[in-house]
Amino acid sequence: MEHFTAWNLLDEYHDGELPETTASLVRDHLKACPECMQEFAGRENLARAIRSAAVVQPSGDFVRQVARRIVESQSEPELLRWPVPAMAVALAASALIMAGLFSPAPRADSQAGLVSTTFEYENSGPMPVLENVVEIVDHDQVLGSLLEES
Amino acid sequence: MDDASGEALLIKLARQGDGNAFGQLVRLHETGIRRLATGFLGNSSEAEDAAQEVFLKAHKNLGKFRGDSAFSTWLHQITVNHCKDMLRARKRRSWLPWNSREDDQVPDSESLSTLPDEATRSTEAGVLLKQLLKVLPVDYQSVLLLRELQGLSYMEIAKTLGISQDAVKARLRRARQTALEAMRHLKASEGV
Repeated sequence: MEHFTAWNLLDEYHDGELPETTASLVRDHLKACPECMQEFAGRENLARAIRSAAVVQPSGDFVRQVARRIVESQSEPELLRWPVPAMAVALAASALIMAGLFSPAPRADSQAGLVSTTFEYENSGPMPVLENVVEIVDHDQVLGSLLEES
Repeated sequence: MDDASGEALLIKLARQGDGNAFGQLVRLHETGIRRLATGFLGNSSEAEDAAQEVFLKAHKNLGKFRGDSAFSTWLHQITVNHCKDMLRARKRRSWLPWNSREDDQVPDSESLSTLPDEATRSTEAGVLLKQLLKVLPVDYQSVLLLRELQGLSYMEIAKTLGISQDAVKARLRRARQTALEAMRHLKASEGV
């Protein structure tokens, strides 16, 4: 086998990917070619280094640890597993509440946790009917109830 | 019953909620997955955590496993993706000024000499591997580790990574050239 051909097949030879007839030709070439042999030895050394660095000791505890994490994940509220959507929901809820609280010139008559809002018009004075009643909502409670529902 | 049909039965039972069957699947594959995670991450406690996370994801997504490929191939895919994410996160953390960069710390020769032989060899190999992997893009690491640690064929690596066999061959060649070059540099610098 030509030197250049053998050189190009060293990876496949090392990986056992060549048919036996071709592998045998590469093997014969290696015996006669120090340059190819050195290159091949480099691959063998690299493989040994990788294997010896990633030796794992038997772990009697591994399955139990996995089981514990599965149980924990199942008892976890869905939103907590997804911090970004959870934060987005919290922000959206906050924005809605803030929009409700600070929408056009609200006049609050606080009474037992309720805010009555009236909307004033530039020339017509306050609207006589106070239908828009917005409950004061704790932001944490909103998120908490969303988590419970999930 | 052969191994494949035994495993298929375990998967079927695990899908139906049989915890013991899933436990057996974990037992069958834990060593390989822990080894692959160790290859990627170097740090054994991080690798242990990553391997647990792999099985957690497998459990959660068992319904999505269609059986088109081997169960081990599917687990390898999850492991590679998870470890890539961890490496990216590690890289991001390394930019933070308050990061201690423990991953980069290499034991000095004095501390190595106080370890027992076996541990010394393993630690030295671990340090060498970390140095080598640092110079390799993560896609090259993936093919090299799947080949050398898991002993996968080119076809199995191609299936795992969703690339062609020619791409596997090309990446392996490039990965080895780069790693061997780095090894030569390391040896040369040790000799100084």
